[in-house]
Amino acid sequence: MRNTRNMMTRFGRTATKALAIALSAGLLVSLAACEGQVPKVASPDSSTHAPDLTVKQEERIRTKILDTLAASDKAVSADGLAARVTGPELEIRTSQLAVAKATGSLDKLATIPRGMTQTVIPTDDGWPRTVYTITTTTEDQQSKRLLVFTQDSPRQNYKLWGLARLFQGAELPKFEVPKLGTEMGTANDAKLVATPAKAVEMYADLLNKDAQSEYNAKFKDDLLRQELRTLDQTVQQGMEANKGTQQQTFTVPKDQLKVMRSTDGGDLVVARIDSVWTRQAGEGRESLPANNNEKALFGNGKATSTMKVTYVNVIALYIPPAGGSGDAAKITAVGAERYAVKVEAL
Amino acid sequence: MRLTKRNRTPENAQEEALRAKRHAMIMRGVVTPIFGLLAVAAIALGLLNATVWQPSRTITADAKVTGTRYIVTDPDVLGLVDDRVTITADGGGSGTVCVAIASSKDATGWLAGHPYTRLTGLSDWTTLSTERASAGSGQSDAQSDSGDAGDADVAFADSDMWRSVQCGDGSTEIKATSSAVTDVALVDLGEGGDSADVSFTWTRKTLPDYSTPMYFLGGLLVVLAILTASVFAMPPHKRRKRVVESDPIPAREEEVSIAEAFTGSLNAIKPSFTPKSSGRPRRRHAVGSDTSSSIPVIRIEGESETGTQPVVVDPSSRNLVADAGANATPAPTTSEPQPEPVDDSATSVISQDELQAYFARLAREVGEESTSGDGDGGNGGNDNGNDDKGKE
Repeated sequence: MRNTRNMMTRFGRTATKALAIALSAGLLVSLAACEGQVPKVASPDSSTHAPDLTVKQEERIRTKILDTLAASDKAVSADGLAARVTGPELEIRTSQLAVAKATGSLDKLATIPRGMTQTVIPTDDGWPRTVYTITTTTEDQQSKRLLVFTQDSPRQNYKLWGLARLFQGAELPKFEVPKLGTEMGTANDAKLVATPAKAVEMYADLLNKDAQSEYNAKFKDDLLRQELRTLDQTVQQGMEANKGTQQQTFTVPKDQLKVMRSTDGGDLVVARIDSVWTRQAGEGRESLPANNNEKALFGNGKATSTMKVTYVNVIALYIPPAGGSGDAAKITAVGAERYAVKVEAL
Repeated sequence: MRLTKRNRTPENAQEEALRAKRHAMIMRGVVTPIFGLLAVAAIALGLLNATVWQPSRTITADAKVTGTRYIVTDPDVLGLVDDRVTITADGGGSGTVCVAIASSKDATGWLAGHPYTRLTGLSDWTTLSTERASAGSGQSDAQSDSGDAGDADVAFADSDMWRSVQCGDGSTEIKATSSAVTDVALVDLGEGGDSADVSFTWTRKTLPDYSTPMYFLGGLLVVLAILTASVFAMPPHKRRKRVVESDPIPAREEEVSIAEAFTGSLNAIKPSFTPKSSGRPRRRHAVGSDTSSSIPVIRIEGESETGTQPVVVDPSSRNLVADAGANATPAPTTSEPQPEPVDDSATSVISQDELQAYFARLAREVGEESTSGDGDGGNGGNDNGNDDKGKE
């Protein structure tokens, strides 16, 4: 008897409970807004170092720069080049165009292929920013070009700062893929066999003194030095024949280098080195331009006994991380560009 | 033992019947309609949510901005509702208006030293929240000065930094798809422009679904309504089996516990994996057979000693009993090894003692009747039987 009543009340209670649950559930759902909750902005993780450019953007920038170059090549004039070219490359290109104007054709070595094999995009937040891009080989199988683009401030655009023709067989360090981005280095990067600034100074000394330089052991021999050595010997022979003298002096201008950190801890440095080649003919003879480029630049100038030719050199150095031994600890020049920009008769 | 309705007197029964009737009336007359109505309402709401009240696929939110030339979104605002967003900026005037998608650090770099308005998110579904940001410190000016002083700044539309950029006369529109979290939209209202109407239009790929839970709820309510009208409305004694109440019976001792049953079955299985010494089949369920390894099989030999009647031989069986009898006549049972006697007792139908007695009896009988019972295999016996048959 009591059992039945208990059962009844228990059952009644369950029914009420079920009813209450059903009602509240229905109420809740109908209360929810038709569009759902307004989404809230999630504060992004500021520690992520996204690359400054996408590969697509790099391609667009490179295309714009090469278009500007192509336009000036076509016009054989350096007008308007400054919008997209700067630094040593602007001087070299201007000179190349001047030579092209005199000779009627652009130097074959001035070609910049449109294709890209590798690009190194920085992750740095500030400015200036540097992007390295390695092109394909040219149609006539010249070596690849290492292009250095810089953006000096946020309201400036990327410009071609330097170009180094990579040496045949030169081994470049590895960089992070463009999707991850690479950290830019500084002129004073430590933990290397030498800081980038110091390495460039040492290389200039090496170019000045060659094997007599105290830094000779710290560098691997390279194509630029071999070529300069040969050139020096040839000119020296000619000069000695007429009792003349010749001297080439390399100097490092201030703050003219770009640094990117490779994945192995080393730095790839692209730097400008200026050089002046002074040739003094003996026995009252005239000193004449040494090659076609110089001749074109000299034009119809009046030759005297002394000729001073200013060159702009761009060198690419790989500085390995400290701690290696043997060849692994040696700084290697992997590419260079060298062009006469001024020929004067003193 | 006593029955639930054992002591039912007539008054009690009447009262109970009345109460049951009332209960059924409440259930069928009040609760069921409530559930039914709720079910209909839920399903109707579900239908409405799937049709008329369906959340809109496109969300458009806008903000009126005045006082600054630049308007920039906060990171993540672009993808707030969906990956695909169209940004429209209307300067209201004739000046050139540009919108760019850029990474937030590039936008910050561009804006350094200039006042701008931030779009910080959605305050509701149709309004973008804004916040004024003052011009940064003069540091950026110094920075841009320290750059190439001779070079003029590039125009907004010509900057290399933008992922994409659109410009228009007076107003413009840009589409952004699957931007990174750090990407922002930057609006330039042009020289002198300082007010604009910026609107974001997101197209949602997936809409919030409110109808399915409503249908589900409706279904549940229907089930509840049916239950209240039927099972719950019945008086308890009708919908329940007559329960015989008694004192709890203690677990029967002969009942096998799970552990015992398990070990027992294991023991039954185990011997079947032992390599068979003779290739002869064994009869597992023969009469008197134990589930353990030693399986005595009875061969019905009839009156083989007379030789007048055909011998019925099961060819597939082996006369273990005869074997046992022949090999160990004096003490046939004791000589046999008893494998795991404890486990046997747990599973065997015939107890150990009974089995022993049975063996003893059988051995005696066999010993008496035929001392020359064929101890060879069933095959030989079979052949013999056939021969006998053939002779007859």
